Amino acid sequence: MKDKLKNAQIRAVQYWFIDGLAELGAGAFLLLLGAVFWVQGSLPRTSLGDVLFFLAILLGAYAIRWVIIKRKEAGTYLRSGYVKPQAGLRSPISTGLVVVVTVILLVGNLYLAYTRQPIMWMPLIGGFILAFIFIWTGQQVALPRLSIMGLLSLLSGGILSIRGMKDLRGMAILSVLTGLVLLISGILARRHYLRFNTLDLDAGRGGGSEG
Amino acid sequence: MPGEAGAVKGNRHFLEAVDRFLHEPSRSVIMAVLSAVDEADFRYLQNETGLTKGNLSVHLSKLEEAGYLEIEKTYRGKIPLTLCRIKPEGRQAFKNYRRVLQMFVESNETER
Repeated sequence: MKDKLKNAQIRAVQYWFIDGLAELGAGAFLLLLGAVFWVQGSLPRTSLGDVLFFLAILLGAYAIRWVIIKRKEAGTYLRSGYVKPQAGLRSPISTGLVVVVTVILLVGNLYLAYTRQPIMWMPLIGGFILAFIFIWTGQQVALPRLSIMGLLSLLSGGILSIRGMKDLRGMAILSVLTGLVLLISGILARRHYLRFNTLDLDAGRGGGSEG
Repeated sequence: MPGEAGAVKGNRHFLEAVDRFLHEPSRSVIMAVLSAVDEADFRYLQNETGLTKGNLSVHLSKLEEAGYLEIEKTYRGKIPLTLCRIKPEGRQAFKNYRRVLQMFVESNETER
């Protein structure tokens, strides 16, 4: 009984990822990020350029999120129902972990800026950030495939840094590689989901005895 | 299995403390799902419980009457949607139910 209840809770928490759309969206976003990093690394840096790139990333993120939600409304919610995930962090450990990593990244950034060091470790730092996001999300929703993707990102970032792919070009390659892995994972998850969930337009409403 | 019977008898006070209203399997699954998310719709709960529409409606109505959850009937586009959310009272009741069940299982294992 206890396992049945626990499993039902885990399935509900994992539901956002069940149809593969979240991974497809994240993969598309990372490809966009990779393109932005590549262009940014190829052009001379100006403040206006930085602002435009930042806006492009922000708009891209919102656009992708909007497409995911619309696709879920048109497909997933009609096929297997609607679940709104719990907002915010669920445990004090998670909150503490997010705070600690954020502080480490801020201090690291300030150190690099203050000492004016070459940013040859940028892909490794990027890989670390991606790994943290994936592993943390994977732990929150009990999905090992996200944790594996996190480790792959960290490994890719490390290899790119060691091989001398520093700066924004290295970040671009890291983003594209991680984005492609996410797209493949998303396609596999989506194929599996569509195979086992059919469209039922009448199922969203409650039964007659509800009043 | 006299050992098992003795253990259950010895832990009768735990069994008496179990919320029998929530101990109904379908209701406990509904509460488990809703305690893990902000809200879920009728379709999702039907998939999880494996109940017919009529039976699920009855269970949801009873849980609503008990003050454990709230039901909102709305539309997404032209499609009717029944949304269910757990209330703080329901969350607390489910937490207590799980705790009593856990204590029963642990004390039963200790006595064996």
